[in-house]
Amino acid sequence: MGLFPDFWLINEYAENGDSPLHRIHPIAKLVTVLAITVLVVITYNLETLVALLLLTFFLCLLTRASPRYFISWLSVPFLFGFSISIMLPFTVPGRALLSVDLLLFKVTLSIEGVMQGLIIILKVVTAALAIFMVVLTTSHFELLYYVQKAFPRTLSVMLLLTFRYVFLVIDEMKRMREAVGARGGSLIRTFFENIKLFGNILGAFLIRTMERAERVYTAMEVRGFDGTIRLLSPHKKFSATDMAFLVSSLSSLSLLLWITTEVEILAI
Amino acid sequence: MAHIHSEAVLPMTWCLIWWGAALLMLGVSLFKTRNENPRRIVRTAILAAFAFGVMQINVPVAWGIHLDFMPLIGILSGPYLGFLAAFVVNLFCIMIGHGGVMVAGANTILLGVFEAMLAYWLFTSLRRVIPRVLVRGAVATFVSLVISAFAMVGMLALGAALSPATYLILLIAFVGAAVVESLITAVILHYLSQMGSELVEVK
Repeated sequence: MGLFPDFWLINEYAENGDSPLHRIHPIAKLVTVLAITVLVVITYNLETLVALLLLTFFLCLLTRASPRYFISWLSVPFLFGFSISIMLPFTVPGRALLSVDLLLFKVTLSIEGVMQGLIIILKVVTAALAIFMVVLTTSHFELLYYVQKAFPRTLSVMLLLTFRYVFLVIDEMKRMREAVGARGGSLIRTFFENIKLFGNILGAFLIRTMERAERVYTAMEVRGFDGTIRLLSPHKKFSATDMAFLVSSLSSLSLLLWITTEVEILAI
Repeated sequence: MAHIHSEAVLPMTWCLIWWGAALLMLGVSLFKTRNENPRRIVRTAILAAFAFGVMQINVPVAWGIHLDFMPLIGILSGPYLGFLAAFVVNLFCIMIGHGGVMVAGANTILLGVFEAMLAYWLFTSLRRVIPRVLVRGAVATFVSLVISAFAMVGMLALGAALSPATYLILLIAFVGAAVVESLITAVILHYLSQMGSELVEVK
């Protein structure tokens, strides 16, 4: 398991997974995720954030994807949250949690600083989990269908083609890394040797990618591509079940807010 | 490279302001590329896939970093298609929890304006001053990445109450990574120009 989510694995769960959330209309899931994200951004209440994290984790469990995957995928957002909150206990003034006398100065960890750091980490992790819930259970072609409807032609063509090529690019990069490893490339420890190695490999890879782009464009042109890609409608009808999911998730969020006291909309 | 890696570090007001700015730039870029040759759109889309793929690779330099090559895409595709590519890459990053819905506006400005557009502008304007593609590519990429790192820290400073030490640590980390990315970008541009690719001097 890598630090970054495996795009192939996400796609496998999204396209072939079978869970109650897979059967929910994408719009209902997107509205729920947006509501969770907005709440996470505006809330500074620790209890509310803990409750939101538990609710989002529960929704992720409903995807039937292995929890070890989405927990490991939280590494990048967690590390970023951790890196920006690590200094807060030392710099935010407040009641002392721990105080150490060094030779020249005194280091104090404040309770308020620790709480602020914890709040940032909770926000970061909850927002990322909410996204995993929707991408693990929504066919990417369905998402792209709405993208195509929502965005102008240039952008929708770029999105569709990028999606089409992301898998090929990731696969080729994986092969390239294996090839470098097999030739002892991973043993290089010198800074400039590594720069030169990766620069040349990525340059060659870029050329190969561009050649592929040319071949693809020629093939598309031969088939009558006029700058517009038309997707067949794969979308489901918004059913009563979808409405029930949307109403219940929004009600749960409202209830959760009400229970965990007022939201401090400090940011607005 | 310099982008906000997670949701919820910016307050809602600033998220909306950056989204507004990003949508404005998106409108301008779409207007400017309305009659764009489909071949260049296809090429930029594949470059965006390349950038997204590269972001998943941990380069074993220093403590291990990830690159995104937005300055390179800006130089190869031009400023407006480069901006659109930055928006597309951000949308894909959201799908893997690398970034976020609310910070996507800020990230699009960082990657699209401060990296892709600025690098293109520097690379083309320095043509006479620095004729060598290798050096010009390194300078354009490094300057755009450093400005982007400062812009990211500025965005965080405007919206989040973090300590000055945190901003300093972030700046040092991003400027360090900028050195690596600009050297690799320069080697790639040099490689492309040696191969006789017409991509390097895009109009």
